[in-house]
Amino acid sequence: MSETPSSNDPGQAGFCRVNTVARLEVPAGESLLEWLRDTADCVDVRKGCDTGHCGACAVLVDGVPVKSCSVLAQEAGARDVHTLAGLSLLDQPATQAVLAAAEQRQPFQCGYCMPAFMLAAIALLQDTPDPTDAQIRDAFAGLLCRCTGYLPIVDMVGLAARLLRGASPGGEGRTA
Amino acid sequence: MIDKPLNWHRPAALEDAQALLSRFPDAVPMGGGQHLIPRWRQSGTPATVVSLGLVPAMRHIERHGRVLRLGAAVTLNELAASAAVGDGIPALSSLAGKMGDRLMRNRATIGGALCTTSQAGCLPAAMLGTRAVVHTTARDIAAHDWFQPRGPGGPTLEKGELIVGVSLRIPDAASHQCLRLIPGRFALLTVFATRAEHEFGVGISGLSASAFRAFAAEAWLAGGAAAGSTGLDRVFEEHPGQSDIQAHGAYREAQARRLLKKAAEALLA
Amino acid sequence: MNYAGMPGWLRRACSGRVFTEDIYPEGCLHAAFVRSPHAHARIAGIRTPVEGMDGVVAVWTADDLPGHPRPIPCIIPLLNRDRSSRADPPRTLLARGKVRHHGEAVAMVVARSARIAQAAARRVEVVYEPLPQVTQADLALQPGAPRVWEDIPGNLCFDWETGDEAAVDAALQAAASVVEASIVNNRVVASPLETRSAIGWADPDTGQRILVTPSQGAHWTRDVIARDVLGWDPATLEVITPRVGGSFGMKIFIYPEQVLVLLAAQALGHAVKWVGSRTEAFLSDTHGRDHHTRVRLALDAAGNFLAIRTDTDANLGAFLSNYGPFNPTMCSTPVLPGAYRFGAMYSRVRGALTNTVPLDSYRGAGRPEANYVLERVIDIAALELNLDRAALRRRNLLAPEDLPYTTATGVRLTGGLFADNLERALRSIDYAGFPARRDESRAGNKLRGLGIANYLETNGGMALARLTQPDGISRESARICFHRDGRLRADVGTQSSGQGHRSSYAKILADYLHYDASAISVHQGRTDRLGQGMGTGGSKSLLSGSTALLQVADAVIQKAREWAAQAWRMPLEQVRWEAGRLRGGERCFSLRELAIMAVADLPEGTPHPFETEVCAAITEGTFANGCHACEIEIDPDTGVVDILAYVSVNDFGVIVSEDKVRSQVMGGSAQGIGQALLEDCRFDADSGRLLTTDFGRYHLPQAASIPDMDIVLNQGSAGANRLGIKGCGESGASAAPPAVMNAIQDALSTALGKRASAIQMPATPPAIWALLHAEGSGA
Repeated sequence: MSETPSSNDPGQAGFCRVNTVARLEVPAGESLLEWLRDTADCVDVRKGCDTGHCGACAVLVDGVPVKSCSVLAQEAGARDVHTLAGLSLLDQPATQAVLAAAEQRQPFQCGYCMPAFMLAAIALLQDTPDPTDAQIRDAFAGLLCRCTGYLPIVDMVGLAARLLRGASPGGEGRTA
Repeated sequence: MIDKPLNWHRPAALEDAQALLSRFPDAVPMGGGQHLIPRWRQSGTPATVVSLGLVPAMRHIERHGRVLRLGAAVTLNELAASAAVGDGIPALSSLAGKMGDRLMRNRATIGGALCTTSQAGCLPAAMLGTRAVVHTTARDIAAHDWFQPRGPGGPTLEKGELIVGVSLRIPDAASHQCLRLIPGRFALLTVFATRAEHEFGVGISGLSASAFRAFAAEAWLAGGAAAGSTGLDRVFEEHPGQSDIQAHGAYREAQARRLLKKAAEALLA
Repeated sequence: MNYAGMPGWLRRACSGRVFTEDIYPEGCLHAAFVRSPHAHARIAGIRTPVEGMDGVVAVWTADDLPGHPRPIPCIIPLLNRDRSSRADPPRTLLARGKVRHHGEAVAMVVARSARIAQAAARRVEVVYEPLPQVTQADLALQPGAPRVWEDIPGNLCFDWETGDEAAVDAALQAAASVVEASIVNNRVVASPLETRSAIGWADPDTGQRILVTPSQGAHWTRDVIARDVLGWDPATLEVITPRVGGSFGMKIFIYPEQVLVLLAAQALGHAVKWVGSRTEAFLSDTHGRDHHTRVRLALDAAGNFLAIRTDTDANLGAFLSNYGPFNPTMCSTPVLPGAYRFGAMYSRVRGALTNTVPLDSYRGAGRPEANYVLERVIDIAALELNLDRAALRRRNLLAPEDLPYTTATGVRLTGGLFADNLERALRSIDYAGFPARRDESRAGNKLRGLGIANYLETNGGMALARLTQPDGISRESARICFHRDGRLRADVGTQSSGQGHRSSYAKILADYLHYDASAISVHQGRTDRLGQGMGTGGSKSLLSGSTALLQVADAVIQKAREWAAQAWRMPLEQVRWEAGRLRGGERCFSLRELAIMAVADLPEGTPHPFETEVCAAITEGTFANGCHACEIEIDPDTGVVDILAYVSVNDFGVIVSEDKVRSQVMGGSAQGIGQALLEDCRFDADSGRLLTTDFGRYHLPQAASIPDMDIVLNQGSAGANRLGIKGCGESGASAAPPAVMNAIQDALSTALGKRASAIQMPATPPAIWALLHAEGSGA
């Protein structure tokens, strides 16, 4: 355990909350990805590469999407972590819209990359609720899918945006 | 990922950070960890890590008159979203918002980028083009000395020395030009050029082994970008384009010329 | 296997809902591998100072393996031109004496945690004496090249031919025009997001061995490992393939890691788990493609195709993977003439051994390679002879009145919408309006190009079955059983890795048996639930799976009728299956109702009287066909390609699940676009090491690279099977690369004229720029 002169940061000996469940304090030296998978039983956080280039490890830390492979577990101490499975617990409009759209369209094939695209879509709609196709593709920069060719996922985000606006899923808008 | 326990500290004040570094001489200071943590998968984690993300002295974005001060622990997304930066030097905030990918930008810091991206990427070019100064706990280092150390005892940080932030003068005009062939990855080539009254600053990254301040290009701009692009030839004599698996040197040089001309059009219009 | 007695982790594996890496057996040990950093080296010594390390349980090199395992076999028999057999270098589980590619496994460490295993693996000391190396097939075949295997001169694994060389050479001599080109099909790394993994276990009570691993067919995985490598009775090994995160052919094959964790589990008395890292994936997964072809096309004065000849050097890698020699030969050449009228064809293929990772099937398995050569040489011919490339194709494509037609390679085409596909694609991309658009682009200093590529697929597993099955017949198995509440469970021998087989199969059964689809569950990847299976590959799963399922469904109906005849005391002929109901006299019941009744009075656990398993023969293959068209714009200053429009017209016969078909077209085309524009697998010239070992250096296409696609499903030509379907999964990988590259050639031709044909994959911006700005290009 660490010892710090004059530090009063409560995150020092962190109890991280994963999907609203309090967990044991995060140990030293693991990435958040490894800790979530190996200790916190979160198999919906995935390890698609070794170098931070694929995004399959995406999680929300205090609502902010990050690559858990490139965050030390201890950085998440005293913070709220949400994985893909815990997204439905977030009563947040963009999140609920993306979940509903994904359920409807089923855009994924093998599903391994799902965390990357779901979390990126949520982050996009949170600050750009009515994105163009170009903006959606741009939000997916740096994220990899090998199965789908991305088009069904882009289409899914378009549907999520329409759901978020309260428009009919067919696309002709009625404001909420 | 690791084969030994890791001593991890997240100091809440700069003095605490410095005290930790002097107590643990092999401690590795870390910003967002976006470069370091994936590296540790190959090399093993260090014994001690000092995470700087919460140090208040490194978290500032401040404008005082024409001077912009940015803390080393400011993330790229914070830089991109900052109104102060957006108003003062929009080319810098737009550059920050395009670096890497969105997930990475939520963690990556200015200080980390300064330490790890000297060969390529947009931020070095911006620091050089704005003639920024890197402020450490021990000294102030001009960006062109930071990226192209001259002489012994260059600007490599001493043990226990930390980057606190950078400062730059807000120019009259700034132009960010880059060629990014793969989304979410480093730009292949970046030019960041500024004009302040009649002085120019030009930073180029991705052309050669390290980002550099292109004095020859600044002279070319000061001369009105006359003589077509032959005035730029000196840039490439001094810094020939390197060849690697991504691109050959001639391509890099051609792209640098093209981006410099676009920057000139923007600044001299 | 006794499901109730299974440990929880194994039940989880059997659920098929989690990836292998998500399974954590209690007390599991973990394996890590020591891999060669050299492309070619003698192993002078191995020191394993880690044996005493805390948590390390075992360290094995090639000499430590229990039980004398045999090498992993290459199952493809192949005769050279001189009737001798191909070379057969041994693919040992761990390197012995020499390492022959960067990444080859030299030792395995087993420890109490993955972390300890990896740390220990890093500390194993191997003394190497580097040797000269060669990574390129054409260089490997040259005199004086370093030998990968001492007893295989010239690195020539095989020298194979097919077709009629005399007729082709005569046609080339006599032809009005001969178009010749050198075509590169670049090496690619499959890169599914889920890496390879394996968990081996030996049940201490029963001695049953179990392997949990992603695959494209659990049964074949079992048979090769048990029978061929370990000398075990296959009945003593169960293979469970849970959820698979993409494969594209690569996970079909047997790898040393799968065998070694099994051996370790057996020897050490604990489950042993290995999950490959992404770096290991680059260094040890089979790679794809890597052909260098010289093609000659003979035409008459009117532009009719007379003959085609290809001479190909195909890279095989340092070892032969299970199907290695099959991809460039017997899987590839049959579609070289495509759906065009060719009098004669001839192909010669030299298989080269090199100091690289073994190569094997990657989405299309040789057919994209053939189609690429064909469709590129057609466009090169159009460019050189100043012919319109759509007209040239139209002239030579089989017309409806030509069918049935046997191609120059013996492929018998009885149906196919070849000419109509082409016309639809041209209309959809507005071929007629292209010249005006090109002029517009030119005014904006951009080079605009339009590319067309037809494709012909051959699916059904026929060619492979002819080579590898005792009677040469392609088959698939399926089993149906019922729960007491009448829910239906189907087990099929195919294996999905994201294609969504199970919902398509459920739909087929639901329609056929008039069952609620929600009362049907479909399962794959269970050797304990189904006696045999052929696995997935070659876009045949819907054909083979549905053939087996419909046949077993018929058998179930038959059993239901027999039961009803007995229960209702009437002759069998009076019990009819009609309009989804079993009828006899006044009685009329659904199959589900009858299934419930049939066990109502039987004790729990009695096998259901309707339960059946069949192994069905697949007697006819399918020949999906289509046309892709692509319009692009090149910025000559940067070489960047922007895809403006993409059209895919496809004859897939009758469509069962339209969404799934579209998904396969998009996914396959995206991989083809990636190969054409981005995926550059590179070896260091001096050391032979693989340079592109992560996604920061090997670039998969991202969302911004893939344009919207106009996908047309051109129906009206049913496949020759009960459902009328045709296989679709790999077609995009065949059609997209030539469509994109033909568009690039077309764009470049406005600046470079005929020299535009020199462009090769991957057409990265620096590569395009270099061609445009080469000395004397005048660009």
